[in-house]
Amino acid sequence: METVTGNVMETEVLRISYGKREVLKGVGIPIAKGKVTAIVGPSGCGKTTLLRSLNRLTDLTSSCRVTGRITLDGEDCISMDPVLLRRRVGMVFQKPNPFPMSIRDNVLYGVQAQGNRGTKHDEIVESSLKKAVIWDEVKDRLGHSALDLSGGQQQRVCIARTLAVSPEVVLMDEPAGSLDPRSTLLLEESIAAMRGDYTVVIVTHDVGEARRISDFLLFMYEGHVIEYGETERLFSDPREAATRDYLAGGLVTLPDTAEGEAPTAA
Amino acid sequence: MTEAGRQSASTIAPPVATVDSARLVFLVPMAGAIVGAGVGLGTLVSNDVDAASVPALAILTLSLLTALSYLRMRAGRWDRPGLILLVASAAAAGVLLVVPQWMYGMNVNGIVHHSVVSIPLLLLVSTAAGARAIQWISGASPSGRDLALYPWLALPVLLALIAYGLLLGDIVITGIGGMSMSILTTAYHTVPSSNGGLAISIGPVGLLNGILGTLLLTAMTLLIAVLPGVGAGVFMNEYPGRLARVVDFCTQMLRAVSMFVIAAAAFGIVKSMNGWDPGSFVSQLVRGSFTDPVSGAPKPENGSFLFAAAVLALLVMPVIAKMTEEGLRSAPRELREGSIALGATDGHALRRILLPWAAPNILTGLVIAAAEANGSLAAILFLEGVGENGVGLTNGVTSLDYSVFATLYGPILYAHTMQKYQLTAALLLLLLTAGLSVAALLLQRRFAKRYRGSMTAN
Ligand SMILES: Nc1ncnc2c1ncn2[C@@H]1O[C@H](COP(=O)(O)OP(=O)(O)OP(=O)(O)O)[C@@H](O)[C@H]1O
Ligand SMILES: [Mg+2]
Repeated sequence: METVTGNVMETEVLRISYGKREVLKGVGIPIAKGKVTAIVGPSGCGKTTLLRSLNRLTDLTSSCRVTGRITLDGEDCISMDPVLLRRRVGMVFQKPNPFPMSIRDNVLYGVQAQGNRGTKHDEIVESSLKKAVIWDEVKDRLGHSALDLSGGQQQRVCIARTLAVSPEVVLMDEPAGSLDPRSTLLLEESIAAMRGDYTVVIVTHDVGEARRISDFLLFMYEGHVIEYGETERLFSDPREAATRDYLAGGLVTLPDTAEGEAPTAA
Repeated sequence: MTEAGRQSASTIAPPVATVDSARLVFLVPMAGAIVGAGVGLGTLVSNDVDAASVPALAILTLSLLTALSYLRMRAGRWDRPGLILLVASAAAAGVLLVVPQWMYGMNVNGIVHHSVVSIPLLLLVSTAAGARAIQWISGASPSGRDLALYPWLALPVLLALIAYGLLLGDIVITGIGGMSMSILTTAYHTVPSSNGGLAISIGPVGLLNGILGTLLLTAMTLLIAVLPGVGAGVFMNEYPGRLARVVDFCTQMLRAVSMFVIAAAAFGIVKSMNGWDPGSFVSQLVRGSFTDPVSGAPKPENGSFLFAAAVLALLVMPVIAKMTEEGLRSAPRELREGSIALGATDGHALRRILLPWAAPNILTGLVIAAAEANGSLAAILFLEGVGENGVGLTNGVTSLDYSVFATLYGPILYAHTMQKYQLTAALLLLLLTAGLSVAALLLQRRFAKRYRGSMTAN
């Protein structure tokens, strides 16, 4: 595993189980500051679970037990107030989930929730929507319900909503999972625009997308991290056969498993 | 249904209708069945109609005979179920001829009247004949057999409607009779008689005290119940399990407990304040007070509006809690998670997303609660008076419910003068409760397809 300087988050021997079933089996990963890290792996390998543990949304599942260490800027996340942690580590979900209120109120929701009653709200709305590459489409109807937008537009409003509170890390769980190719392209554009200002961790089933947008790549299989490194290196010179097979769009063949699982997106 | 008529009908009309117009002859037994059922239902209302029961069965028998002869003519054999009906109908007529008018000791002191036998016989035979006639008319098709079920389904509904009609008809008709502008806008009160002393004479007559009292009570009840009710609903949603079960249990209990038990409990509290100074603040809040016209000193009532509203609020709070909880629970999990992931506190999500989401449910809950409060007025019966000293928070409580009750069991002066408006007051209360119930229904139907639908659409 390569060492990366300037990690904003790190996990050590992270084990997560639902009831008696362990789905993350000792995961240790770095998350490079200001970079885009993509997580890939077959369905059910624990990507969503890992992502949700990073801002402790796993707390909401009563059967979910987390052990190990997660740090943010060296601080222990497990002992931190979860609300404060989530203000620094935001999340965009697979299914767009705009609130039933206007576009403007959606973007300002987190800002107001965090007690910012400042006067710069208009600026925040504009800059956030611009970063999410949706400003031009909605600038004339900021007062309209966000529910009237298309799925792709809704998802970008959700991204704007997350960016509006200036989190250090933005977690994205298959944000393009329910979008058409054009919306996906705009989404990728907006992620590219975030690079440098934000740290992005994105789960995706689309290996091509992972290659296009990420600086670092994490390949997971059945609750283990199989390989982690710079994206280009993993594609050009994977150390593990399983990584090579998966990134090539084929089946995963591990020495100890006869049959692999087909990735849903090739 | 002449031959000519049938032909012209078949040449003009396209062959859509499958009913052969010759079958319309079966309208005859249909009519016979309707006559039989009509007499049966009529006997329910008045014993006098009973005299027509034997003729009605005779008509039914003849009409069945007509249909059967026609069938025999066309098909060459007797319709067996029809024959059974014919025999049953004739036998029923025979039985009714034999049964005496009063059955116990054969005199008027006997308990059981002839109609006890005639009504079930008439209804049963007529319904069976009606069902058979429908099947004859619609032909021996599967859907015809379905249609033939309708008389059996309609009978209990009809009986229930008649029961309702008997119950409410009197209230509505007599109630409307007593209705007038002055009754609605005048408050009943008594005035001291001119020679001083304790004697009082009657002032103007009207139901305004009851009307205003009911409205004030309803408003106060909601005002008192809304915050604890919504609060309990939020709590039930946040911490599902024990509290939810407790509230469910309370709701069931309160529904099952007789209103008079609650009334007795509430009155017990008022009674326990017997020694208190009627002018004191707490006494006024709980017992209510009025100024004695002779001595000018405050005197206690049996219970204030405020106290009565608090009792009713206890009764309706579970409804509001339940509706609130349902509304909150219907909010999609994605919205909650979205809010949490933005670093919002639970309280913020509640204020900005969840309560607005549940607002329609809460509103419906309030309307249902208002209707329930009006339906549970018996729970404060012992606290009430006729409201002759006015309507206000610390006045003696009164409502239309008591306006009705007091015409029989209230102060003698009131009972005497207001007797003829008993059903007018009852009708007003009925209208209020019915109006609230209909409003709750409409609200529920309207909000069932609110714009959360567009949320799940994508
Ligand atoms: N709330 C839950 N309760 C119980 N088991 C769960 C829960 N959520 C996930 N799991 C289990 O944990 C394992 C990992 O799930 P996870 O959602 O993290 O996979 P994933 O890699 O995100 O899959 P996908 O690519 O299909 O989204 C799965 O086997 C799943 O069945
Ligand atoms: Mg997943």
